[in-house]
Amino acid sequence: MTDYFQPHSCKEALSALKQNPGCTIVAGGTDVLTDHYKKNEEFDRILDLGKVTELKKIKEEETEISIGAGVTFRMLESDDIVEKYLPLLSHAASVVGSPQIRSKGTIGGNLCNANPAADTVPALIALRAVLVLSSESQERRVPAEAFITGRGQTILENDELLTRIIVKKPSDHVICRFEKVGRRNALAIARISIALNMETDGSVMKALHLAIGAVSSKPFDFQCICGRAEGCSLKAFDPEAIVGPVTEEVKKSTEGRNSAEYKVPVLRDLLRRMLQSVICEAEKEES
Amino acid sequence: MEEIKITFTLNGRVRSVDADPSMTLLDLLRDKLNMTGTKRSCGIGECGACTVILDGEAVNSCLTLAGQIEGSEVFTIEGLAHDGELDAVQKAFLEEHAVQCGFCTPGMIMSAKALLLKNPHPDREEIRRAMSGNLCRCTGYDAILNAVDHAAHVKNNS
Repeated sequence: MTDYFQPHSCKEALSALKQNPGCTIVAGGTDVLTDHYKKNEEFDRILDLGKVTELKKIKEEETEISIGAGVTFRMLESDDIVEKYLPLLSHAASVVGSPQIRSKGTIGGNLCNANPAADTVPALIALRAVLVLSSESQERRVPAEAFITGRGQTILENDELLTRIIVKKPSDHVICRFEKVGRRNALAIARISIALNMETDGSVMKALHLAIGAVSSKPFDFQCICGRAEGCSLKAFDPEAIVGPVTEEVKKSTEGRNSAEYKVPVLRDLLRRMLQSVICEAEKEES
Repeated sequence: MEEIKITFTLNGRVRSVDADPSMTLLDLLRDKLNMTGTKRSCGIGECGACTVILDGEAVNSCLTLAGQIEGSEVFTIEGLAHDGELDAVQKAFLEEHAVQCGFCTPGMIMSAKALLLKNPHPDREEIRRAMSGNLCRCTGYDAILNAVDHAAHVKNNS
């Protein structure tokens, strides 16, 4: 009997997890191994999900895109379906770590590791993604914004695995932006990441979703503030109506941190620029 | 952790090794199989010195568990030369003087090889991006990028 479990199906994986609560779950392994070196501890039991092929599929359904939790960043950045329907996610995946990290790291790992600077998480929140959490006895669906509860903390129960991420196919009038500020281009941990997703009907803003990473212990979802912009005509929309309150919220959450002096003004200017850019693109499409 | 049998293809040859599945692929290669061409440096996936090709993709062997390579195909720097003749990428690194202290070179070459296997005609930006996970502390980056460019042209003309 070994302590290294390498299931080939979700069913086997969930059964192994049920029998071995607290084992180390490895998808790509890029975060787990980095943490392991830092803690310098021996592994006790490992559940390696790398051979579960059903977790590595991207499927286009009639109204939604289903992404297996084991899909790598490399697959996300190069997949035609993701590029066509979810360019925000493609973009976010393409700026993760390095080519070597993107070859192995997975979208499910990015979510479950719950690092506040995770690149794909703000994109998934802005896309209003739904996560499928499976156990042997049940399957439940939770919105991406409710999954992470703090640094390294999620709502996953001991016997649950994140198995799929579901994103609705967008309408024709969706404009997205993703920006990451890091200390350098490659291999940088985000200092700030902003995901913006705007849906219009041509002249009126139907929905605006904004999520910001790396400015608090979990990614920030600004649904309350962005909700106020819904129904607003694009011509009358003033980006400051969003930029001001969002900056205030981030200011509060970063208060007392050395990084606040840098992050708050950078965030304010970057967000303003992103909003101006999506409005400009929407107006161009309209004319 | 207790050893298990791990079967994989290494540089084109099927290998079965008894190993602790929680050890890294880097340790498996260097300490168990005595293949020391793959270099150990940062150990946390930041420098790229330990890059190998796993199922066609460049990966950090320091962030890969030995157990994860079961049934997979691994290529290391030792697998590039054939019948004593260096691979086009290795030759290009020599011709472009893309080696200073040489410690990052095996990782650089494996990243370049992974790129050229997928994309035989990369432009300069694609080369920069593919090599962005490999650090050279001698800072000879221009020569390294020139070497990858050179290898692509040689391959395309041969």
